[in-house]
Amino acid sequence: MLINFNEVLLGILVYFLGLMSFLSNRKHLLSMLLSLEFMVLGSFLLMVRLVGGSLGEESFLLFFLTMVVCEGSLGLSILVLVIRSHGNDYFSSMKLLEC
Amino acid sequence: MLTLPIINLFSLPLILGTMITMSSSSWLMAWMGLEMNLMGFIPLISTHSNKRASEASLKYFLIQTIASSTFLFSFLLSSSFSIIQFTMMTPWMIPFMVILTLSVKLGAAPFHMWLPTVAEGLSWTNCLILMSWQKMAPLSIISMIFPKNPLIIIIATLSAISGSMGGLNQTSLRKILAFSSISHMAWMLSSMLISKMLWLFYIFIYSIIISSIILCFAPFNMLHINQVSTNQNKKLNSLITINLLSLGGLPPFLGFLPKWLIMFYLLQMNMFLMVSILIISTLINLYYYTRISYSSLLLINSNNKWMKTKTPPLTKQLPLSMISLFGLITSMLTFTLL
Repeated sequence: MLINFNEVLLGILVYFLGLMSFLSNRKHLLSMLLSLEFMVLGSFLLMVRLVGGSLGEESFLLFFLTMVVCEGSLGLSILVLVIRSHGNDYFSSMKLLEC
Repeated sequence: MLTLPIINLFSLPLILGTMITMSSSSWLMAWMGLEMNLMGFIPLISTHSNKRASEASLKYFLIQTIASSTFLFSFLLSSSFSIIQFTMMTPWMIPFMVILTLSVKLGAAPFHMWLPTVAEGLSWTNCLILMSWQKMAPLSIISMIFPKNPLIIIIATLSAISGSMGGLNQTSLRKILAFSSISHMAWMLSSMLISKMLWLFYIFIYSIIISSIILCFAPFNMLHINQVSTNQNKKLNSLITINLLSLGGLPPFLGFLPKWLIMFYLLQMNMFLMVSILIISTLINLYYYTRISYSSLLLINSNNKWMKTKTPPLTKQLPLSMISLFGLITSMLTFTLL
């Protein structure tokens, strides 16, 4: 299929581990944000093959990382907002708006 | 506080992000537009420092970022497997993943449970942006790349059923509109089986109708179906009724026109079961729309003698509601006479 498959496999593994960690968080919001960063790190590994080689576009990876960091900081600011209003970041206290 | 500088600052990435996604020629730019849209919308939601707004913005952020990350992963994975994307060499799972993640972003079933919860925590203006503008970017990606995928039929059917069934037990107006948004998503997705541009027509008319509904509810601060019957302005009740019936797709009103087109062309394609599921779910939608307005129109309500405030004149609500009332007849007359 591919000549050097190892990076893709590592990227897929990192992504899925981050996804499983995101989905199985029962308690704290901060660990969900950490696993979100882990997921996009796995996608970053997949992107390295896309922009590298003879194309020479590796500086695009910096743009991508900037977007990801902006998203992470947005998550952290929402964490601060939630802690300010609720007092903690437990998921079991986020039941105000349920159907 | 949602002040005008904040609206000015963050509406620019909100609008530009969607426009970047709709006009992009690569997957990466589409993803970046979606991220920019999210970054512009979250500050608009979370400016009120109460518990509902922060919880709603938290849930919205988590859902949208996991969908964006999975979307990013799926197209990066596809380009790792083949040079030319989506040819015969790519596995079938990647279009599957892309459509599923984009339906998470849209709030289409089976990933729709966040939408009533988030809509409850937003103010009316943010609710309007959530239901009309935020749908445009993922729908444009689906329509440009996978317009005739069989997975869209499954998602549209599930959205129709869950949007109609879920709204039956609701009393909060924003949740009712959220469930109606889910079932309208079913119509928009099934319009992609017909042509690439029909969903734009549908979402344009849906935006007109839902903005006239929200414009009737928002200045009077109505959040619950009990509050609809207790206003003192009799004209407002009839405007709300007209707009809700138009949203449900009844014939003399504007909301019938996109549904008519979709029904006609789907029946020409012999998709009878799809059309019957959509129509039956719309009927159930109409039940909970008329439930909002019949208590104000048909029953006698007692008004307090001590509430002698004058209600403001309906200058903003009337033009949009007139479009909703007369739009169908006007457009039909125009196109037959031209």
